[in-house]
Order: sequence, then structure tokens, then C-alpha cells
Amino acid sequence: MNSTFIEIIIEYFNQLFKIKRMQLTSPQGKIYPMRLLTIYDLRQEWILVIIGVIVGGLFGFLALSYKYPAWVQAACVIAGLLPAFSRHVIDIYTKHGWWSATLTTLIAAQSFHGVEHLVQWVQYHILRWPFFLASGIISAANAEWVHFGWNWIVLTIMVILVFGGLRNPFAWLMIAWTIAHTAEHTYLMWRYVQALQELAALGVPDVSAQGLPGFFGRDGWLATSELTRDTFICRFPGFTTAVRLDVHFWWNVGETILLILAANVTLRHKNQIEQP
Amino acid sequence: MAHQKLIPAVICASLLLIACSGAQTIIPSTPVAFIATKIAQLPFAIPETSCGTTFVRHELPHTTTGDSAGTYVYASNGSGLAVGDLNGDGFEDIIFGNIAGTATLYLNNGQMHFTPITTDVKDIRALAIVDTDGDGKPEVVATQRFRRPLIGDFKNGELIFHEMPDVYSPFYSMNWHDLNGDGKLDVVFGTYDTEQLQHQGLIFNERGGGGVFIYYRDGAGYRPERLNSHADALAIAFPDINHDGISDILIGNDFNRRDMAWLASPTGWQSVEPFSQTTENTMSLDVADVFNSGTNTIFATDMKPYNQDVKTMADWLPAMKKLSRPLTADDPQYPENTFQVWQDGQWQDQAYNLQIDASGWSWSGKFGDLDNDGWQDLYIVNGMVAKDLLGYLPKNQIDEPDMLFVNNAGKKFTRADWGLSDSGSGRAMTMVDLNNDGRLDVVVNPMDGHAAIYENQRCAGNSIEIRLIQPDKSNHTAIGATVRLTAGGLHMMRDVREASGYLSGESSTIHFGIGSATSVNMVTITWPDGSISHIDNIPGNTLTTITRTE
Repeated sequence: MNSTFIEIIIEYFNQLFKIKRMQLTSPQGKIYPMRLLTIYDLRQEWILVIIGVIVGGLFGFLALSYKYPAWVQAACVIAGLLPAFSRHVIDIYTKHGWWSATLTTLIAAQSFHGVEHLVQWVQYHILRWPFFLASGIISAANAEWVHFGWNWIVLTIMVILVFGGLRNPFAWLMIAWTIAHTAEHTYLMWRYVQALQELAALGVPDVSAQGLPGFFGRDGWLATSELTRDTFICRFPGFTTAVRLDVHFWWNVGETILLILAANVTLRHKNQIEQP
Repeated sequence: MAHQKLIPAVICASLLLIACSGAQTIIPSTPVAFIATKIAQLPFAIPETSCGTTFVRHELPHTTTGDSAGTYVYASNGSGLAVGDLNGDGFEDIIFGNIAGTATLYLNNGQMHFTPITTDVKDIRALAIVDTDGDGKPEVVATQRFRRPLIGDFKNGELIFHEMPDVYSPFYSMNWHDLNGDGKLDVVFGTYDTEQLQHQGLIFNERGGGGVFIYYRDGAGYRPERLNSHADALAIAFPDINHDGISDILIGNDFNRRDMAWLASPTGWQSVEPFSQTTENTMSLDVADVFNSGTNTIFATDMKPYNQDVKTMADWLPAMKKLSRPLTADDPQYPENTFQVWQDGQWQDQAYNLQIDASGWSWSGKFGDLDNDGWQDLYIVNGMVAKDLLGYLPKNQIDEPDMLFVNNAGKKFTRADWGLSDSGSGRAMTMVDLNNDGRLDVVVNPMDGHAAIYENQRCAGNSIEIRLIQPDKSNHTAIGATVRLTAGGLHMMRDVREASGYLSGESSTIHFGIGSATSVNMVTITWPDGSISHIDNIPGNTLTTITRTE
């Protein structure tokens, strides 16, 4: 039912932008139909998925039993699923080429990253953990490095995909969105490193400085700068009123939606061009 | 017809049952009675040379110090102050509390000259100058760490303390008000359990623990009513939370403990949680009509850095990590100042929208019209020093400037200096006209620093100060009364209170800035018993004493 719903939405955009269903070419020149949902379609690897879930879950449970941090437990589960996903990507590469395999990896990983943000949201708003504890699962290792690294990877892959043909209005919007998002994480990383240096200078090496406000959002630079004080900008709903977790949750939601829309548009155009 | 005759009897019986059930009956509003008054006016003594742009700091020798081995958490919460005319010379005197040292009384000789009188009491938290026994002369009341509250009588130039009758527990915060409508002043006390537990361990709980207590004046002593058994009460206020015309009780708690509120009702005190968002470590409470709308707002301070630059955040992070803890999903607490505004039938926090959510490690935060323009400004004193909590910082302290936010016609707050941005470690603070010049001065009792008076020398607008007297009542200075007036097109309202902010006593003389207006009109006094007096056309720039003649 979910697939049908997603397909209806995608079809709506297809009609909006006059896109036709098309195919992509494999390295061997063979043509296979490539649909957006193929990226998420792991049915061919179901045995590996089940094994991965069991093995990953087992190691995750052991990690939990031995009181390893949550990010180690999550890493066990993810590692368990990696073989299935790797075979899936290889299959896509075999049938549709490097560009599609790269796109598949990016979309899947970006979707997982969305889950990470969702967990952060729950930790902060539902469980009411302090902001410096509400780091998600994997990010609990170090939220600043995880998100900084991830956003630069996304930007780099997006540039590669653009060179490979991901060129449509959604893709350009996605590039702009990703550049802005990455710029904010770079600013956050700069603040983080500076704060660590300040803490070290105070002789406090064991306190992390993760979770400080960034450029946008509540208490961010735009909200607290003397340049914007007493102007509408410093209390512009959402932009300077939402907490950092919410701001980055929506950064990520926007990024994922734009990526999926851009991919959908290009997949269809690309197939049309490559059709024999 | 017979059953109709029974109705009054049933009502009487029900009332009797309620009265006998032990629940404290809150007297409902009585039919409005109009009370005659007589007025005495004294023109302000405005020094000719004191017209500038800033406040001028006067340092006093008194210094509040912490433990002898240094200032640690709890002791670093500092001590209170109170103002009031103890010797009846027409000038407000000041008493500063102390922790390791002794409290000091400064008798005000006018023109910013003071005579210090040392006392032998220490470990003081809250202070009040209030007429507790209704004899027309105010006394000093002091809560003490780990000891019973004290009452100090000022006689023959000396302040002689004795233990408060019928009160056997140590308390932290207090505020005075006539809570049962019997015409006598009662007191609400709150404990600081976290400190008590550290000091006494489990014995504290075995002895009954702490909480929030009302002590009703009963003859020459007091009769207690316990509202709850746990508190970390740094501040107590009496706002009308449900807008029924009767003062309720609001307790501001430290250490992630939720603030508490009780509504006055005919069946006793009813516990409520009226706010969707509150401070997490409430340091002070103030109630004021900030928008000149005839409705009070409630301001609470917490700990949130004004600047979010890297250096400031690094200074704060280690301490905040020690103090923060996970809350529950339904918990309304957030670590920032709140400014509760009554909108659309509910309280809404507008602190962030008005940019007064962050002022530093804030203690006393209070409203007062510091420039006499008819709009109450917000002043907050800040800073923290504690060897155990901030040992990683030079001098073990977060050194922040005090913050003044000027009220721009109720539309926004703009930060200003006016000579009030001293750094240091402010704790108790109050606003009072010390030289009867019609301008509010500021008095601060900081931690590990000299007590300071900031003399208001701003060339500003006109003002009027009103002192209410109920000569035949126990509540002599009409604490709990409300004064409304119109001046220069603005409708203003003030309450007569004993305390507000953090451990800070208030003057019973209320101050209105009236801008360029030269007189005030439509002065309406709602006396503590609900009766009303109307007075029209009082000249400005006067200290006006309004005495109830009935």
C-alpha cells in the first residue's frame, strides 16, 4: 500500500514535469527498466537480509548486554545488513551502471540518515534528554563529526551525480540545499573545534562541546547576533525559532525529498536518451 | 414550599462542614465597598546637580561572603536584602544579609548617606522589612540556613533578633501576604531541600522533610498549613493565576524541580500547573503589568548565556552538564528565562519572542520604570561563583554583566547600559527610591563583592510615588493592594508587595513613571479586603500618602 502511495506521488510529479517512464543501460549495453523504487527493493536479497538482521541483532544485543554505547549497538545491526545491501548495489551496478549504483547508495544512506534525525527528535522532544545527550544513534559517537562528514560526502556525491547526468530543477535545488546545509555544518564544526580548544585551555578535556547552536535556529547566529537584534529576522518563525535538532531534521527531510524527486526525474530522462 | 425553606439551612450546613473540615477557607470577594481616604503629599526632593544619562554606583562596605574555606555551591546562592523605613524618618533603609559574615543594616539619612549598623546574625537567606504584628512599626524578618527564621525589632538604634514564634523549621525563601482575608499578614515559606539533604542527609527526611508552608497569623503566633513536602524554592510570588481577582501562590524551584502553583478556592488551596513552558532552574519571580494593559505578566529567571560565542559556551558547558538531567515528556521546563503573558485565556511564554530569554546566570530579575516614561523596564543581575562547580574557571566564576532591557512602549525590549552593566556576581536586587527624588534607584547584594547602590541620575520624565496606609488594620501598609491610575494616556497598575525577584524585599511605596504628564487621574485603589477608593487628579512629582479613613 505504501508503494502504491509513493508511486502515486511520483506519478504526479512525472505528469507535472511531463516525464515518461524509461530504462537505463547496463555496462554491457543491456537495457533494464530502472524505477525509483528499485533502489529500495531488497526482495532479491531476502535471505541475506534475514541473516543480516539475525546476526546484526545478535551482536547488537551482545553490545547492549555488555553496556556498549547505543552507537555500537546500532553499528552492529547496520553491519549485519551491509552484505545484503552491498549485493543489491552490485546488482544495480551490473544492470544499470555506476551512476545508478551511486545514486542507490546515496538515497539509501540519506534515508537512514533521516532515521538518525528522527531518533534525535524523539530523544529531545519526547524523552526530553538535554540537547548535548540527544545525539541520535550513530551520532552519539560524535554528532558533530558524523554530520559534518556525512554532509560533505553527500555534497561530493551530488556533484559527481550531476556530472553523471543528474540535471534537473530538483537537482539544482538539491545542490543549493546541500551546499547551505554543509556550510552550516562546517560552521558548527568550526565552533565545535574552537570550543574544544577553549575547554582544553581551561583544563577540561573530558567535556564535549557537541550540540551548540549553528547559524540558523533558536539561539543560532542569526537569532543572537547584534546585527539582527530587534529586527524581524532574529525571530523569524522556524528559521530563528526552531531548536537545532528541528532545524537539522528539516534540513534532512528537504534534502531527502529533493534527492528522490531529482533522481526520479533524471532516471526517466536518462532512460529516454539511452533508449535504442 | 417546605423544601425551599430547607435550602438556606443546607447551604449553611455545607459551609459549616467546609469550615470544620480543616481546609483553609479563602474569603471570596465581598460586595464592593467604597472607602474614603485622606491624602498627604510631599514634593520630590530633586537634586539640581543630578541630571545625567546614567546611574551612579555607590559602593557600600558590606560584603556577602560564602564559606570560610571559599565559596561553594549552595553558599554561593548568596543572601538577600530588604528595604523599608525602619526608623520612621521617611527614607527607606536597607538591610543586607550575609552567609559567612554578619548582616548589615544601613539607616538612610537621605541624599545617599547611610549609617551602618552591624548585627550578629549570619547564614541569612531571605530578608523582609514588614510589619508582621500590625503595630504600625515594621520588623526585619530573616530566613536562615539550617536554623529557624528570625524577627528583628529595631529599638534604640539597634536591631535585636529573636526566633519567630511557632515556626520551628529552617526555610529559604519567603513572601508575605494576607492569604485568608482576615486582615492580617501571613507568610509563605519554602525550603531548599537539595541543600538541606546535603547538610543533614537522611535525617532531613526523617524529620519530616521540607516543602511549602503557609503560616497564618493567629493571635500573637502562627498556625501552619503545609502545601507540599518537597521544594527547592528560590522564589515565591502571589500572582492572580486564574484571573478570578484573588491572589494565588506561585513557587519557583531550582534544580529541575517543577515550579508549583496553588489557586485560592473556597475549599482550600488547589494545586495546578498553569504554564505550558516554565524555567528549569527558577531563580526569581516578578509579577508586573509590563504592557500597561491592566493585566499582570510573570517573569522568571534561569541560566542561559546571553552571548552564545565559543568562549562563553566553553565556560558554561562543564557546569551545565553537571546540572542538566533528562526530564519527562510532559515536563514543561526549559533552561531559559520565561515571560508569561496572559493571551487568549491562557499563559504563553513570550520571553524568546521579546528577546529576554537569555540574560546569563541570572538571579534577581525585576521590573521597574527606571526612566519614568510610563513603561516598566527589566533589570537582571547575573553571575556565578563556586569553587566546586566552576573550579575550572579563573577565580571560580562566570563573570557576566548585569542586564538592563528597556521597555519600548510595550512593543519590545532593547538592551541598554545606563551604568547598570556591572560585572560581578549579583544575587539579591531591588528597586527603590532612596533619596525621594521620584526616580527608582537600584540596590544589589552580590556574592563576594561589595553591596552597591546605583543612584538614578537620569534626566527622565515625571513620576508619582504612592504609599498606602491602613491605620486601623493589622496589614498597616496595605500589602496586597492594587493601584490603577491614568497618566499621559497610559493606564498603569502596580501591586503593593513585600518581596519579589530573588530573596529581595520590596518597598511598600509604589512608583509610577508618568513621562511628561504633570498629574495623574482616575486613581483607583483596590485595598487588600477588596474595597475600593477613587481619587482624581493628584499632582505628579510627589510622594503621596493615601490613608484609608474607614
